[in-house]
Amino acid sequence: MGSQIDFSKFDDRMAQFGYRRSSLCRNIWRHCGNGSHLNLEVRTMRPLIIFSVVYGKHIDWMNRALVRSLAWPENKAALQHPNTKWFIWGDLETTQSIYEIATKVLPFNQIILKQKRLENNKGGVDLLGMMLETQRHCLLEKVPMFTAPPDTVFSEGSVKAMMDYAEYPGTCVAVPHPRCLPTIMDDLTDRPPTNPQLVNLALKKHVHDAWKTCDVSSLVSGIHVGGIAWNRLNEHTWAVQHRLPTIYIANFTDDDRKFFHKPFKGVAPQYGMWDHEWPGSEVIPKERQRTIGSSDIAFIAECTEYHKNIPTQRLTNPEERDAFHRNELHNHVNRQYVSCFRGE
Amino acid sequence: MKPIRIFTPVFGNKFINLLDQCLSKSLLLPKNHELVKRCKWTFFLHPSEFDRIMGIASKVIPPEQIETLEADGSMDDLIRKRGPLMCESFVSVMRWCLRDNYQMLISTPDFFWSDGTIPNMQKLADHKNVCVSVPHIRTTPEFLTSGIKDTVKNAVIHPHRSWSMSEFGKHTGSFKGGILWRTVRPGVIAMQHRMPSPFLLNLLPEDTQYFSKKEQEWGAIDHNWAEALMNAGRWRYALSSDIGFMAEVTDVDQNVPPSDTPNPNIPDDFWTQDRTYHLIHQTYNRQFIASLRVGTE
Repeated sequence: MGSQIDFSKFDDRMAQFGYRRSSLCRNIWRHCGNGSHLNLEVRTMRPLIIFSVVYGKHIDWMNRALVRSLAWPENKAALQHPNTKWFIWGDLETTQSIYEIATKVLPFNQIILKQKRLENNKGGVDLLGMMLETQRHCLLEKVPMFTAPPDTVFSEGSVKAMMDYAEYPGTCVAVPHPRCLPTIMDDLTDRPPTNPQLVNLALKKHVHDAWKTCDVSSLVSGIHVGGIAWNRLNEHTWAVQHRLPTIYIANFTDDDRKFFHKPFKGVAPQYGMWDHEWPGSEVIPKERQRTIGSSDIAFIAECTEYHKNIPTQRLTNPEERDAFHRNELHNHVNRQYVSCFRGE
Repeated sequence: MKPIRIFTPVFGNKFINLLDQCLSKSLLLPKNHELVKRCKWTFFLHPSEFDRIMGIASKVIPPEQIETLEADGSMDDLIRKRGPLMCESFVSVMRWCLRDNYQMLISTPDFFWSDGTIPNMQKLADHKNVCVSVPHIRTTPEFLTSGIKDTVKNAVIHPHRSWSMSEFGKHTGSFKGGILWRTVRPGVIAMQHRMPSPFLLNLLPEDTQYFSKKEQEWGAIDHNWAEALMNAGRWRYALSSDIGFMAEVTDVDQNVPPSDTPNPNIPDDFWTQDRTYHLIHQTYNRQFIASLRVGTE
């Protein structure tokens, strides 16, 4: 599976994080250090190509959200494969700072900075171009792509949990995620919060209006436009329907490449197809999606400015309170599975 | 929210004992009982066992909320034809639910609902026409000796072979059994289940027609009917034991899936995969991963 591995380098790398290869099984590492990860086992992970797009304010956010979380011990260990690469798309002027930030997770020689100047009003098209170029490398090297937006926090252990389900040809791992306020970054330190603690931060202390407006019990809600519907079962537990959970790790096929090159229902291809069309056309019908439906397995929060991405609210239809304005196959299927976000 | 009618087919000593030792105990758990005490409870039973069953049920809810549907003929006839007869009784109780505008909770005597599961299912079922499922696994009868707390923990420490044969890496039972699980971190298990069963039902008239077909049997609930629910957008499967969980007490030698060597390239492969007419719910269920958390109560 994947490329040839130089295991001597790999062992050294794992040793840096306190792991020793199990004497019983070659692809199992045990953590031998002190602290909370004593019983952790890390299986050999496949190499990945990590895909990030980082411009403007997102350089700071990358440092305080994405990299902060990817540098937590379990997440970082899960990414330590000598053939893993990180494609970071950004501006020429910011090269130095991006390298400084990204090397907290991967060594310098595994970070590949891709220069691209954004063109006005073509965000979706620009992003698609970057994704397609990254996808081309993934197909060539037969490795999955890990979408790692700079504004996103991955709970400790999420990367490994997702990679567990991305080990097999064609599988694409989706995780439903909420938005939260950027102030969450002030509460993230080098010491990872537990998943329930991160849920608390995202859904209680730094809750975003995009989330608040999707309560199924509200008479007026953003569910119809936003595609999230939640039901608070008790103080700490939310039952969540998410019509379009993001695919974070994708094992591409040649059909995927073709899909992103052609118009969908007459609309020119753009990056939004990632969430809105691709899963219903190429992923779910071919049994490729693996959706992690519990924050105890993986939890991801997307920092969003307080005034952005708040869905338009409308009167809730009492007959169908989880109705969504679209009904592509993946919207129809995802509706019928209820995830759980658990705080404490 | 609609009121609930619990439907329990029960006959024979073994299942009457389970009604007492398993289902009733779980219905009496505090959060479950807060709701259950207001439900109707309908039994499909043999008249010869009426008194015993009423004696057990009336410890859970007031006798005036208990209804019975009695099988004709001898006990031997009932046991021999239990599949079609249970299906027939299911259709009758469906009709009562439709008539009275009730939801139906399918609850056989070998079910043990973790505390809070029933009220949480009711919250998820508060949408028109939807039918709710929660993660469920089989456990051995020893489960009943381990106390009423920590249902998930007790279920996995008394694993039925259908469960122990389904752990990733040694999942010889997954190809036929349809379950695949792995421990994500201490206390957290991630599980794929190809055929979770719908339990709390908002029924439609066409559902009675579906189960009234001559060839239909009780087992169609999870094996076939779930497909119709999913196509109609009526399926709701909770992906965490923190929302709901059920342990199904099963004899050690029953319901053990045939063993197959796991396919290393497709660990979650399932025997219906290559069929021309594989079932859509098995296809979709494969793509969602639920968590079981040990020590949730």
